[in-house]
Amino acid sequence: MRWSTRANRARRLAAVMTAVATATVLAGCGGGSSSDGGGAESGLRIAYPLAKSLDPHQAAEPIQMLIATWPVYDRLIQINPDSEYEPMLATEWEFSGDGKTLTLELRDDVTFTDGVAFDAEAVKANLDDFRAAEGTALQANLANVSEVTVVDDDTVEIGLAEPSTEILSTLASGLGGAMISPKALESGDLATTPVGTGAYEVESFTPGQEVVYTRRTDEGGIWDDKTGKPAKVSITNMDPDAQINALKSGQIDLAGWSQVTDPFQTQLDSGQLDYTTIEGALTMVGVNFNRTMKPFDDPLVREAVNYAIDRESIVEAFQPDAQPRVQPWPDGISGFDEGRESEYSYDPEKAKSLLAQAGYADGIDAGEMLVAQSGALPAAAETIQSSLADVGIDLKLRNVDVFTLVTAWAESKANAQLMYMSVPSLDPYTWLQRLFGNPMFTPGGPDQEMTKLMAGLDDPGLSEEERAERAGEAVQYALDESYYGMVYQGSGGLVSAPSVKGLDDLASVSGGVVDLRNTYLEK
Amino acid sequence: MPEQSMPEQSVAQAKTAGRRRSWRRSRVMRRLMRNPAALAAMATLVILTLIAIFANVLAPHDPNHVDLQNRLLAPGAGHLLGTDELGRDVLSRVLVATRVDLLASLQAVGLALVVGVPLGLLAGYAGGVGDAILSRIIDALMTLPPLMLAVVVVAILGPGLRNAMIAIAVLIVPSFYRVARGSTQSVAGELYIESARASGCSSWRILWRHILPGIAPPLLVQISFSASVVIVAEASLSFLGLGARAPQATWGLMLQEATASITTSSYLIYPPIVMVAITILAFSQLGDGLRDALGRQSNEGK
Repeated sequence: MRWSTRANRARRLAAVMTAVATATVLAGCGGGSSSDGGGAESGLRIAYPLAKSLDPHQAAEPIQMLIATWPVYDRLIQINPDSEYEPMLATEWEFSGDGKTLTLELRDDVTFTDGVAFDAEAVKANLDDFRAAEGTALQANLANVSEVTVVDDDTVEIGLAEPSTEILSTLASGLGGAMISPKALESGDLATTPVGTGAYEVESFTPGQEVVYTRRTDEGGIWDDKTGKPAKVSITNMDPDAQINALKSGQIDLAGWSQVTDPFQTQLDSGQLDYTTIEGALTMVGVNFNRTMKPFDDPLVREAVNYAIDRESIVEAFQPDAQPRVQPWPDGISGFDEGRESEYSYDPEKAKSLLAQAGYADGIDAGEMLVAQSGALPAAAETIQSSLADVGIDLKLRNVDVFTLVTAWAESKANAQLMYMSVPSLDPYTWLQRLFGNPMFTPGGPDQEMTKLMAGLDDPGLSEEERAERAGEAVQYALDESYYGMVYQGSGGLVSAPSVKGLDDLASVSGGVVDLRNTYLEK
Repeated sequence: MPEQSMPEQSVAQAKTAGRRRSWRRSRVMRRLMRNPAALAAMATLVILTLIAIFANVLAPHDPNHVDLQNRLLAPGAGHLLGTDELGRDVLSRVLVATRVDLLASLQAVGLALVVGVPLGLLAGYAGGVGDAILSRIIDALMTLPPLMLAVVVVAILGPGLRNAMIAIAVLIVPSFYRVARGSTQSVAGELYIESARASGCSSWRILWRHILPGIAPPLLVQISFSASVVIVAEASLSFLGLGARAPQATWGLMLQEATASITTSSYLIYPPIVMVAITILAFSQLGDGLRDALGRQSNEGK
């Protein structure tokens, strides 16, 4: 099977790290301490999670890469706010008839900040380097690439071992798609001094705390007119409380935020701060059942949970920008169907009768649910716990940090978990693997029927309609079987000073992560 | 015959000593009663204990019932202390938390007593190499930063109130050990112990019947102070998410939940803070009173 090869073990690691980082991003905190806000001489000052290294070889997953390095690195493909692929360094791309070759046409007016030209050789140098990076998430992302061929200066062919559309996701991500100067790849210190084709160069970097970028000054160096408007960009790691205070005091201009806006509601009302919802955030939040353990091995019990959860109240109380979600699939990925949202409406009586039908009329001990100690999840978990208690399901909660949660879940050590679920990808096949396939997230792996439904969904030969229909069948099956007790499709947001503009044109939105390349300040 | 009269004499001596102890105790009690702060502290602790016992009867609502339609209500007629982020009645939760917190501190102090006192007795009475080794181990334990040690213990055992209490017990074992050891050393040299030994009492009997009652007063003071330390430590660990588990209410957990909505509903932090402050004050005032009563007593005895 797909999960048995060595490359896919690395991919599993990457998948785990994705979950960890997604939660970190969505919680809007990175755990580091705040510095004094840095760039006094203006520029765009952002509070966002920051890794200890800017080297993609050391990054566990694409989101972590993208958050802090978008001023430096451009990607081959980007994802627009409507969740569609768009050109970036590659102007066009096309799969061959057998789906095993992807041909990319490249821009010819781009140089790296160290003066090296961006061309097909540079793309090959990058992809070959990534594929050879033993044990990294980069290598895992490119595991399906068999060879990279330079056709001419502006054309490159990527050969695939198996036909799969997942390569587009990789090339649009920070891990696999971000292009590094070949010179820096060979001899540079990528951890502290990334060199890319973007509008900025690193001025200073304090690992895990702050990175300051200055605009590149070479003639014609900035190829994308929409980028590079602020002369400086600084990204500072702050905990949520520090973020709010820094925003209120004007110490920073912009911060990521994905919880209720209560802490700065007064400032929002008076116009001192703005809040922008990131449309199309592809993050699912819900109860993931361990179907290898009692009592959630019984579909009737899982169905009862689905009827017992009052999604609307939870969303209204803790995540007002989110969408209540019944089907375990995000709106924005092929296969979503609004029609399924009317199933499992809140009905405690129905839940009770289902439990009675399953033989648990006198109540049931459902063991323990792991809860990510992040954002609104603990509060949502306690609400779910209380609702389940009302219908006779006794579920204990264990709040743990995200990393502990992912590890414990992968070892099948709890009966359920409440967690953010996302992959920075538009590919329905990647999403199917994330939600129903990968044994790291689905203890015991997919059942036979699901395996059958997923097979071949990444074939580039399928038309988009066929792909959407087949993904929809898998989602319907997962819904009928109550694989999840989904609660909502999470939203991310940005809090900003009114002088921050360009937030209506957020590039590369995927899984709630934004590239702020088009953002600028206007006094 | 001196061999026969000796035991009789020592028995008489021991009896006198016993009488002197009970006489002392009543003196201590009287002194304590004359100390208004200590008296108020005792009254407070009695009230808290009653609250703890009858928490379920006193609580006007189910402390764990989530009601999202009525979340973050200000204090008012329906909910005297308002409702929390999940719409649960704060008054009910504070009352039930009193039971949980007092029981938890009882557990931690009890465990520390059971471990620390026998070790201290043995080390103080036997002395020698065993005492030296044991004392160095306990000294080493005391050099570790207390909260970090608790966090590590909880990390190993897993979160949860019982494990948090075990962690806190580990923290306060050294203080019980040292008090027990020091007092044992000074009591062990007294004449009535010598005579008990001469009359053929076994070491166990001497430790249990003669030394332990002798060292009880300083231990009582230690228990009182430790109880307040435990309350604070429980609150800290719960605040860090290492203590009690939802939906169980403890003061620390309530405080942690209250900070989440501090900008909009700041009143939520007061009930648990007030309860923690009152309880700590009561325990430490009682400790102070006990120490004063006993301290003057021993001076007089000289």
